[in-house]
Amino acid sequence: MKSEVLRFLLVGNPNCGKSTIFNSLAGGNAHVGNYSGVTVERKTGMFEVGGIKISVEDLPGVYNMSPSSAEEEVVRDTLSSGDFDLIVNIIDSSNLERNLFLTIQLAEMGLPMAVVLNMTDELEAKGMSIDEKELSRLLGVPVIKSVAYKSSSAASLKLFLLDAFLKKREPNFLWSKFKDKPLYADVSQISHLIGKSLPKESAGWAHWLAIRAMEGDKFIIEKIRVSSKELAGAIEFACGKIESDFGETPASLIAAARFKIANDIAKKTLLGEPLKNQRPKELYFLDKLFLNKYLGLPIFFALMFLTFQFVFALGDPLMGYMEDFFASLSSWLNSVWSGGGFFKSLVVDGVIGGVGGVLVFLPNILMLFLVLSVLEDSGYMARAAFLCDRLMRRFGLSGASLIPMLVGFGCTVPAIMATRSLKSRSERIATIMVLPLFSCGSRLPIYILLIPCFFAEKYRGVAMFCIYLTGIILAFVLAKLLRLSFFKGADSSFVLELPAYRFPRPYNTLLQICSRAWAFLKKAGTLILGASIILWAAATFPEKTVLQKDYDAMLAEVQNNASLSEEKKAELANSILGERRAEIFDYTLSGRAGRFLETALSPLGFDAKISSALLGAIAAKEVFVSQLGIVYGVGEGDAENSMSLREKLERDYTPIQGMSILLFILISMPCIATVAATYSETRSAMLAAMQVLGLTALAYAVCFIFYNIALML
Amino acid sequence: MAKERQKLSENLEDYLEVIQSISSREGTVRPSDIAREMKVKRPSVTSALNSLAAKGLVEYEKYKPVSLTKNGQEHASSISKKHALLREFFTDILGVQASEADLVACKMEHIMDDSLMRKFSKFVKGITNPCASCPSFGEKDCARHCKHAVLLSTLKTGEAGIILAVDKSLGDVACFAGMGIVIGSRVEIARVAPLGDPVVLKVRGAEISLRKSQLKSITVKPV
Repeated sequence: MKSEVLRFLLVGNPNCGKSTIFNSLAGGNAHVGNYSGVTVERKTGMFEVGGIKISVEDLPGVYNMSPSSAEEEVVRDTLSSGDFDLIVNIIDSSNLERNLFLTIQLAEMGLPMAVVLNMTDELEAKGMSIDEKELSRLLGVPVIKSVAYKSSSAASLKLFLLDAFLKKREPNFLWSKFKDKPLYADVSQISHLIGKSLPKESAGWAHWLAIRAMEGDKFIIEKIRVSSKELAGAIEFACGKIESDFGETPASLIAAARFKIANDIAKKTLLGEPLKNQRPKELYFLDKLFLNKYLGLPIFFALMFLTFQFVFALGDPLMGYMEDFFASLSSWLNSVWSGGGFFKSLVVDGVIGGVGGVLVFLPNILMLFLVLSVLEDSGYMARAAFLCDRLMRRFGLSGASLIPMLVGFGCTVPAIMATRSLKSRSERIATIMVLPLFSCGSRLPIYILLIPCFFAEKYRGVAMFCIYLTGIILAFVLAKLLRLSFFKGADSSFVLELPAYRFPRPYNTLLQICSRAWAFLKKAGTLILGASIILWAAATFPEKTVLQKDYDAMLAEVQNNASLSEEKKAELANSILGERRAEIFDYTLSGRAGRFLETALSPLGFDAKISSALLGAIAAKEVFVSQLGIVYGVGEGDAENSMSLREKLERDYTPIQGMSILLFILISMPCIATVAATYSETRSAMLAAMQVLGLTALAYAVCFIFYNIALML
Repeated sequence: MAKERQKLSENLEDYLEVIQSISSREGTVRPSDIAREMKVKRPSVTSALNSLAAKGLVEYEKYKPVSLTKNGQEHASSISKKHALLREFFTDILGVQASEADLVACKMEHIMDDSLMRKFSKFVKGITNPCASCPSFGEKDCARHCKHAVLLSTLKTGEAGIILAVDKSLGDVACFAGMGIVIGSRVEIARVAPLGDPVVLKVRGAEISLRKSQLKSITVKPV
């Protein structure tokens, strides 16, 4: 044992139910992080069996060990580091042969391994089963059947994995079937050559290295070239000879040979015959509907529309409760906490105003992630990409760009990560560049705050839809322009698996939503809390102690003036209070920063308050809401606190200004996290800077044109 | 090697098979392993090994691991080849369950002699291989010169073919291979997207979507 904690890796095809197995092993006990250098999500968890602690890692789903994407590279690198105790290969039993293709590649490495046959229930529903004992004999490693979402199988799975580790069985050499074939002669010759140049303890790797080198794995070939030029030359020669002999590249011959092995194993272990028309019936029924020539696209758009309806119609009442809760919390604090001075202001205006202002949007954001997770798990997301590919290609994108875009409605950062499935770099960069235009969940609070201020109730839904639509249209136009100018490059090869329809497992969906909720709460508790405190300080200090006018005297004068009606009195008092508030705010740091920006942004209709809130939005979009909350909370009399932020905004801005603000929020610079993700995915500071500056310039131009034309009308 | 192998009893042939399978799995073969695997007593193993050693098929000394001689290896692999072929015939052509196929194959492998086996093998391969009817089948490069070869893009919805060649213009061969698009795979055009492109292919039990332009890089023989 290398360390106290054993390290098991879960490896398997996409959609093989790996995450479900991971969840049943580690439960909610997962830690999500990133692999260093790339933004591939790294999921690790812990479980204990027989007093031994085991850490499991859910590697990204791959079809192949040859790295053609960031995910595959992560898998290849993690596996070839050798720093683990057991490979756990998850196989989707309902497609044994295809899944065995990866298993064979794993077996070639000759490292301790165990195989988990997942989703055996789906196979059995087809009237078939797998002879796991025979499979274990053929592969030479332990095999277990599992139905991942059944909690009863988790305990036996844990025991099985521990047992597999203790037995340390190395897989059989599966290529022996090809011993007399010409291709194999070349493989064994090269592996012999490599074996001679390797130190004794790693001689076991020779065969694997030979196959990888012949498949054209640049990383391995480069390593061989460094250690011995002759060896690299010999491999190149052998590959050239194979290509001229067979008329095919060694890579495709090796792949075909592997499939022959897989086919052989599948034949020997699959028992029973498929019941005629069992699964195809239900599968085709759904595809007949969703991919129908006439109905497919309308259904897609209807589903998207329903998604928004669901998120807003169901989320809004819940949001109302949250709002009421925070409002009563702060008025309760105000009433019981007499005096308190700055500290009270910090808690009530800074923390509750800032963090609470963002937390109220939790229900909406969770609803959105719920829908996205259901769409993904059910298998519909891939079909949406398939439906829209033709449409997307008009704009120089591919159907595979659609998935990141849909994810972008949740959060831009994972959306940028999701572009990894795009194989063409220019397509990928164009997609990343326009992704911030798909309004993320963080911008939702701003829209929900602002739209009711400026639109009559019946137009609110339309206004919200228009904002999203404007973003989408701008994104497509911009993508087309980018593809015509900066990122010309060819169309990517498009390849996409349409996974079988599956009913999303409630437990999995729940776990996913919980982890999203937790991430949002963490963000609220750290980044937004910190930003709120800083923004509160900036909106409070330096405090103007000597005011230019004696507002209290003016107020008293109004109150005592008997010639005025009560209504007139209140109106005058309000404007005096507003004047005082403006003077105090202008003196503070954020007032000054806002005023500085105001000169630049006033052509768009923004005043100092909005400008300073926009500054806050750079950290995270939601902070815009916090900042407005703080700016309007600070320096106000208790009498005014009864007025909601919306009412105050409605009082201070015209609908045209409001729309200009909405447009600016939609288009202008993405948040810090997005910029960082763009940088780490493209590895180019230039592109990240271009995204920030380009989008901000675009926002300025659009708002300028909109505001000035609207004013003229 | 045209000469007929010496005749062995069914029992002794089983011993040869077991010795070969243990040695390919574990490297060394001990008499105790054989006894366990065949579910017989140690003395029977010893007597069988002695008689095999007398025929020059195994090397055996008391208390030492057993190994097959060159002759013995040939004999054993000829039996296991027969077994595999019979099994393939029962499962793939007759559709018999694997366990039942094994049971019957275990008996038949002993009574089929080599010349009958060759004829039988030719017959089975002719049925399982879709190219069997082709006159240039088995010749070098036959996929490239196949008279029936067409581009996958010419097939209509519902038609299927066997992949003969995958052109490098498709891009990363390994990436497509992982999804089952390799020489020898059967592909079927399952459906076309509402807007006319891309298409869904059924291949190796999965549904893969490719663009029509990509189908031009794949050569198939329609089936």
